[in-house]
Amino acid sequence: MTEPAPPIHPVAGRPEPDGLGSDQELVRRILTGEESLFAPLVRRYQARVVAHVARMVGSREDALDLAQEIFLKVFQALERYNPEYKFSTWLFRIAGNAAIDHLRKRRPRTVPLEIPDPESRTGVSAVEHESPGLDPFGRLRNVQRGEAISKAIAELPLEFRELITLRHFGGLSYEEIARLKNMPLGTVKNKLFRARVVLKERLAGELS
Amino acid sequence: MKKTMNASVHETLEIARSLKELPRERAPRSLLPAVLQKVGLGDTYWRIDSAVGEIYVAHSRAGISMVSRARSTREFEKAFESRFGRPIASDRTRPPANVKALVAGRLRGKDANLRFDLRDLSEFERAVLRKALEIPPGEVRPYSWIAREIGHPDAVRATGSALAKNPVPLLIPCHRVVRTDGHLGNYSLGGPRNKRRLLEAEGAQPATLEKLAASGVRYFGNEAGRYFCFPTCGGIDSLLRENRVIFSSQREALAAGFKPCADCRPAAVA
Repeated sequence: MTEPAPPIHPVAGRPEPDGLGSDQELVRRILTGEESLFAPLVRRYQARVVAHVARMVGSREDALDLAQEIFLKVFQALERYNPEYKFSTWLFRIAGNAAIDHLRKRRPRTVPLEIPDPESRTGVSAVEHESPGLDPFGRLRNVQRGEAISKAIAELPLEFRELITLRHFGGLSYEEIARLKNMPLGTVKNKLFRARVVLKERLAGELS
Repeated sequence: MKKTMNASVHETLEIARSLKELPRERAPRSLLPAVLQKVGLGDTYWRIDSAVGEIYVAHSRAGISMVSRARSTREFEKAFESRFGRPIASDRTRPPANVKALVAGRLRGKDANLRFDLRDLSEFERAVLRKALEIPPGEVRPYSWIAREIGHPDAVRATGSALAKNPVPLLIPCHRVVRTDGHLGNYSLGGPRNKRRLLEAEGAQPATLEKLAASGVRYFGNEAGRYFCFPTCGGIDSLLRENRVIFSSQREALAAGFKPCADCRPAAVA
């Protein structure tokens, strides 16, 4: 009955800002009939799931559709979630599978050549940003830099891309990623390191 | 080799920092309602005509959560969101027959077999509202009756507060609960005037009740059956006048050898 309480947040012990207890606690209550608590659970993760998936599939629009499917799957499979592990690990595994499925289905029509258009604001770069307190120039620099990074990430090989976005847009720890990908922790660190080296090369000159 | 490696570590740390400094992204507002609709947890509402004008009836898979009047759909949607913190959309299906019958006052609440979403209320408040569901259309009960029936005979005032907080007026008929002295009391769905209008529409004859109360009549006794009732028990005209005895208190009725009616239970049955 009394399982050891798992860490409730990447920053251990930090209470959730919605005041509703840990993810595990929410899941337990949803499964015992308080289904309306699914809404706060979605609220906790929707931004990170969309950001992660958008960068995995290279389209924010597709990511929004996929996010609906992902949360539907999560809801339907909630009984199978093992509360010994972090909820985010489980959620992002479902999200990653959905993204990869989507890429596989879509591959034939993404192969056509795309002419890089520096003016283009479509795809992953057209995201809603929340950056209060920046002066207009700061904001512009931020947008430009964000677009450069988005583009570089979108061009990474799938495996690197997934690891980078899990870490930086999904907010998962190395340990969570290791569990999610069934990889040794050292391998995760090593691959993330190499992914950043590739990013660095591609972004040379952009980040000054 | 070592040197390039160190430079590389430094550079990748810089990349990590740049990624961290990227502005946080928000999910669009439309995502959560779309998800909730998809999993069947979305709240939606019907607009239904009633004796007090058009009302909005909000419901989700958990049950009916809110009934209110509003000047526009937008006003209702905003009121719902600010009360429950989640979005709501219009329901394009027709309201089920039991909901319409309840709204029209043709059905006793407990017979409609509806689920209500009362999770924001306390156990006491839920008990009060469940009890109010038992009062049939055309009848009224005093606040003290509910308090006694749910096992808190001294909590008459708290009973009044619980009824005032009823999130689903009309469907849980708090309008059928009145003061012992004959005053109708307040009503959340448009004030005492609407309370009177609803009771009239259901045949409870509030004007007659007020007159009876003003002249000290609290109970009718049935001479033949030797039991006594609230005046509206079974409908206010159900008791033949030649059989009717008038009582101004329980004590008076009990002293005269009358037993409390088993249907409306005007006093605790010993």
